[in-house]
Amino acid sequence: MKNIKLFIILSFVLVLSSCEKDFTNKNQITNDQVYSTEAGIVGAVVGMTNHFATSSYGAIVEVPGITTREIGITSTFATPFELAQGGTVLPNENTGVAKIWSRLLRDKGVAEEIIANIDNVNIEPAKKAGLKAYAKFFKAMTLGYLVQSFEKVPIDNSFDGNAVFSDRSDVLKECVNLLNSAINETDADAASYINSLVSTDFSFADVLNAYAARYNLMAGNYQAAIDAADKVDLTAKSVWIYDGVNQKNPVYQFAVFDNPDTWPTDNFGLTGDLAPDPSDGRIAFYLSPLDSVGTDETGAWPIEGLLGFFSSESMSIPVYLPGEMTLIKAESYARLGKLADAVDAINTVREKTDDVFGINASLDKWSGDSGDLKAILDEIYMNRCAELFFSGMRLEDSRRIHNEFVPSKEVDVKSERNRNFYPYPYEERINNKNIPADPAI
Amino acid sequence: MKTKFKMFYGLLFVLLFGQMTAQSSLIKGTVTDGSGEPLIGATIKNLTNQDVTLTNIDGMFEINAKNDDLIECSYIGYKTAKKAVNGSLLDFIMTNDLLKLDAVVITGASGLTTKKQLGSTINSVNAEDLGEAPSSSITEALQGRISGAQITRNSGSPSSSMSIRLRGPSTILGSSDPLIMIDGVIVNGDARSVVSLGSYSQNPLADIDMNDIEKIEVLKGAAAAALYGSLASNGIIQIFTKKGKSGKPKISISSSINFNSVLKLKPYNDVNKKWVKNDAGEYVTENAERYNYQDYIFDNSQGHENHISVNGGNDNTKYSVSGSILNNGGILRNTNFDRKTFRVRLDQILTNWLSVSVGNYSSFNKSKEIPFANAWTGNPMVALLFADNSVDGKPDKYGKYPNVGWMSNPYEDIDLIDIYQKNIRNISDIQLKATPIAGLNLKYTFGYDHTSSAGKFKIPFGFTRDSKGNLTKNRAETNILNSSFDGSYKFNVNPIISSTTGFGYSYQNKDYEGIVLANDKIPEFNNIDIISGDATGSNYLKEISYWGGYVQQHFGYNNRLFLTLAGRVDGSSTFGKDQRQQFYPKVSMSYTLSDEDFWANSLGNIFNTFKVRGAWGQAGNLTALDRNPYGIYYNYGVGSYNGNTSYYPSTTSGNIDLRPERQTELEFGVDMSLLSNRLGFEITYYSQNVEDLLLQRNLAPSTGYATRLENLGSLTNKGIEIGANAFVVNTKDFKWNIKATFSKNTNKVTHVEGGRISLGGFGTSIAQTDEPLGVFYGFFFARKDGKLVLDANGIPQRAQGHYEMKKTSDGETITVAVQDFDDNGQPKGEKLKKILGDPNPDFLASFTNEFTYKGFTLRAHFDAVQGFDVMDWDKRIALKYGGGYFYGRELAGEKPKGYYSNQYYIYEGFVEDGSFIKLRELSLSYDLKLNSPYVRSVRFILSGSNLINISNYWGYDSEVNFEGASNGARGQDFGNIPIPKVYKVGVNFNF
Repeated sequence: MKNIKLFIILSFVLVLSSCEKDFTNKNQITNDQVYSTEAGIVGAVVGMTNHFATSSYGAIVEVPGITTREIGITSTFATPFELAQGGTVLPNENTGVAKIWSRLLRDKGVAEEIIANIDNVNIEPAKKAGLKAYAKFFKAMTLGYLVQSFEKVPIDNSFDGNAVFSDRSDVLKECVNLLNSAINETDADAASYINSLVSTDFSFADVLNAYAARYNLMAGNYQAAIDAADKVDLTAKSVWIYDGVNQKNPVYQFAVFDNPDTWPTDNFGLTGDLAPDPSDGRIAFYLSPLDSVGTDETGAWPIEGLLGFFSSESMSIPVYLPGEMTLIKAESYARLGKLADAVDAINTVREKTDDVFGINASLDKWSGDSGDLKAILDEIYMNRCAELFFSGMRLEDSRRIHNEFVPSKEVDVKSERNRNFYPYPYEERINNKNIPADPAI
Repeated sequence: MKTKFKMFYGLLFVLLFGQMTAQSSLIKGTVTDGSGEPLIGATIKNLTNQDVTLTNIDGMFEINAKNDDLIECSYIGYKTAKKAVNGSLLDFIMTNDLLKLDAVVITGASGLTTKKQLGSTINSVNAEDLGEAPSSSITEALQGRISGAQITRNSGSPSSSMSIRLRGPSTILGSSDPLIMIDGVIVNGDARSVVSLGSYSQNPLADIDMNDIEKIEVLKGAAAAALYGSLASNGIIQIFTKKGKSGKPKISISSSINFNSVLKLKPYNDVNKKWVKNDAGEYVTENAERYNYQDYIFDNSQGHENHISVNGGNDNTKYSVSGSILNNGGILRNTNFDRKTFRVRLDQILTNWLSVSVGNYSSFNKSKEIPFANAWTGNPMVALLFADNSVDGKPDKYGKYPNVGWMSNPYEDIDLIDIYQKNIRNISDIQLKATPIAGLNLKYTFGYDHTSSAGKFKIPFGFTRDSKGNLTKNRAETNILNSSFDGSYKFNVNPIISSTTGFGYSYQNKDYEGIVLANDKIPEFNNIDIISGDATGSNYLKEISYWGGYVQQHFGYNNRLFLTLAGRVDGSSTFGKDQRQQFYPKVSMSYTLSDEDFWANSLGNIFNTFKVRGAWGQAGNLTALDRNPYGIYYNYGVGSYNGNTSYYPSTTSGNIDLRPERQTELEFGVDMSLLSNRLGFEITYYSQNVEDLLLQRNLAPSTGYATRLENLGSLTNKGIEIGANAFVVNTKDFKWNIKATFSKNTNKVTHVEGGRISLGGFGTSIAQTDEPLGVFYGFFFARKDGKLVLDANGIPQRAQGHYEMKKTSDGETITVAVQDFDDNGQPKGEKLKKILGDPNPDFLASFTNEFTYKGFTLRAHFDAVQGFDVMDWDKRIALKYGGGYFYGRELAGEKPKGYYSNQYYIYEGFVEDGSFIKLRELSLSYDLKLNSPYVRSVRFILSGSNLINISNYWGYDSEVNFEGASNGARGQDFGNIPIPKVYKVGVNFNF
């Protein structure tokens, strides 16, 4: 009897001894796994590409696009509404501004972690070189897009919440340095590994030179910009890809899909003297006619349907456009005083009929005053607006080329741009003690 | 019969206590209540020889006893009486036990104990006290029955989740809902949603049929339960289902039908005009017809319920089996809830020292849903708010639904959106009880609660706002396994001091897996109900475990003074490894002063019973991270791009130092009965302090992350709760009983990072230091000297000015709005926000009158929640959109155009006082006792719930919350379904 009792009591205890207390996350992996293994680093490279292409890219196009009239608004929702009104009506809390800021900083954070950890991971040299160079490119690109919208930017993310901000010139210098170092470290094997890893159409060597050209121009290194642009093979294609199911073209998602409230404006939002020639082939490339206007409070901009690289959820978006290279050269020549070379480059773009992406202005030569720097820059601006429509470059271009224009602090729904730089997002402002003052406008 | 009972009990006790009973002569007696009514089934126990019997249908008993034997008579609801035998007759006249001090309670005690011995409050509600009102669930039936409990039905959907706050909210991130137990087994009490429908969730207790319930015990607060520890930091609701009794099978059949309707329609724009621009570009009115879409959206619906139970058994084996079918319509057209349940419980005595109890509860339910509140797609309730009702919403002759605004057409939503949720629930348990040596009780419980859920959300092809259609299917599986071992050893140190030592260990494991498949382009033919083509999918897995052990020492002095000391260690897998296991002490005492001679001789005539009690204890909140079980890790999500696997960090940064919130509670109170036990009070004061409150803290985006979970806050709840019970009239034929409760809780957030954080409700619900949790924060009216500052057109405006910094009591700095005005006295500067209202009620009260005349019982139960604010988003939208009531006032010319629509951003204008008094129950029942051998009794019931709502609230119903079971965001009304008015007709047969 006693034994049976003991047996039963013991069996209670045995049933209880099978207690599991530690569970790993079966939905996700942890940072230690990511940055200590080849599979993790490769996955992080693919992951940041995926996030940038499907999420960050949408914010890069949408937000400055509203500020610079590429986009007309058909609702009164706060986020696009405040952007369209601009001036100091645009608060730190605007979620559009916060979107560019936080998405790009997340991508940059991953790139920084890869750069910091890859040397300690056992990966075959060509792959390692390619992965590291790609992370450097990514850091340069995210920094670049940030500094196009914000006056000062932290070059390095900081876990403690107090990242240090750098001036625009230092940021652009860092972008150029990162790209130069990536160019030096990327041999053909490394490049071909990256090309097949991140996209179906990708030419890493050309991408590196194209972005080096872009940031050299922004930094005022005109000869370096020309040199880098010259190294880009204009027949090569590099694109961010979307399968239309798990990854959707982010511009299609905000400007085409499901009756959106953000639409491309007529004539790329260019008015008056800057308006494109009605026969400009780029109009038909990017826009489909639509007889509609945006809301009165946002300037009643006439709007069109969007084509280009954005008319379906699975269309690929170029990483850069060959036309940008020619226009970088045109502007660099112009700013170096080589006006004739500048006009030649402009005409190359105007007369283009064989663009690898099909962006063909098919216009006659420029008929403006080839001795007038301002006229040349305006023509470059018009061509950049048409050629690089919906690529997130407009705010930078408008501020650089039309820097004499000072946006109003009041509501402005008509001017070419209604901000120079965005105010720093609220969460950064209240949580980072190193945050600089908001820009005046 | 009688002898059988006697023999059985006698045998049982002989076996259990291993003592031999002495033979003696039979004595006889009658047991009656104060009004002379015989009490049937009262337990008569000879404390000297341990003989036991029950009274018969005439209240009579016979028991073996000899002179001077002490006989105890006990009956539920009456005070236990003891008398010494003197002669051969012994009658008992029982007095009502208003305080139920002698009632045996199970929850939270180590072994059986009486309420008298507890230092903390416990509320025990018997099935008959739950009333006859038609209720969607047990939780709803408990509304207004328990002091200190605020129970809110979050929406009028038939299976809507409920929010239960025992003594106020105790966490922000986690759930403040109490632990739910059924027959000693911890079950899944998490509000669930299979299909994603905004914040709307279903009540997991809607799976249980009310007719299966014997009683409910409610324990509040951290001090209460050593037994369940930190899982019970929000209190416990334990449900006891009916058990079998020895004797012939007793069959009960009950059947009812109910009629649901909307209590009140919202005012809408019934002005038959619309705005047009004239040639001069000015707005003028033109005739237009206005339609009331609410007539179509809401529908009077019916429901029915049938329940059958069979109870019976013999000396060693007892069983209880039941089944039910319920079908209830929603008041939102095309919604319903259909449920079938099946229950069995078997109790078996194995040997003289070992018994086993096995139970199973199976429930199958399916609900047809239509989106509402913040479920945006296909939502007729929200579409109604934004719709311009100058268009007839009905489809044209080609079946096309007209556009009525920027959202979908409510008629189309109701007619075409196709959603169901299905749950199959299975709760099983096995419980072993052993008494290996006298005084030592051991109990092992193994329980398993499994839910399989499935759902579908279909937007058909050709739907106006999503012409390609959409089909989403969800599957989810939840398992909760628990196993606990409890022991207690009871012995008498000496004749007046008793000691009970309790100890135990428990382990729970919770796992969840959800799978979603979706396709946003579906075939034209709507009979196709499978997902094909380009489908997207996702999958989520969750595993959590909790464990804890305790030791408890209980001393009793002379059965009047009790002291309990306990210590517990609790842990949960969701916290940081070094932090997750914590120690929590508890101490409590109770003293029944009225048992002392000095009391009985002095105050005893007024205060027949007087007990003082107090308890102090700590508990962790182990479930606060249940929704974020992997918050300690830096997690990288898995995806794919260009055919390669991708990893990308979550927006939430990891934190390996996360630890459980710690709650410290002190409570003390008195239980007393007065006026010959006609009037009873239970009064409790409590003070609760929660530290290390878990919060999602926003990070600077330059960290690469958006948020991190941190132990950042603290809050307090202080309050008083009073329960009162009075037998006003207590005669043989007529009885009048009053029950009342009153509770007042004051909640205060004592620390949050930065002094203020947002919690939800479109950013308007916040936690701010020195304020109650969930106060509303938003734009307010420009005012000068208390008067509205109007613009040139006489229209109220938003306050403008600047913010100044203010230190809060925890040393944080917050902004405080200061209005500025220009030279013309008009507002100037930044648009300002301030605290606009508080969703926490000033007090809760309930008042129940029950009249019994012969077989008739009439009961009226009023429930009041007073002094709380609601953010009425419906009212806001009615200011500006065409179908809105206020828009109509501008059209009618009562106010200038723009008067209301310009107030759209002035949130203060739609913060409303939500105070209400509801008639929760009005019921009339008639019990017909038949002495037929086949039908023992029949009961007829006519009842209604929510028949009257006394409230100045503008919208449908202030007692809802679009944020569903959310903890921090309360009192938010947006496109919500009001609580229906229900009438019920029912009949119960007992065979």
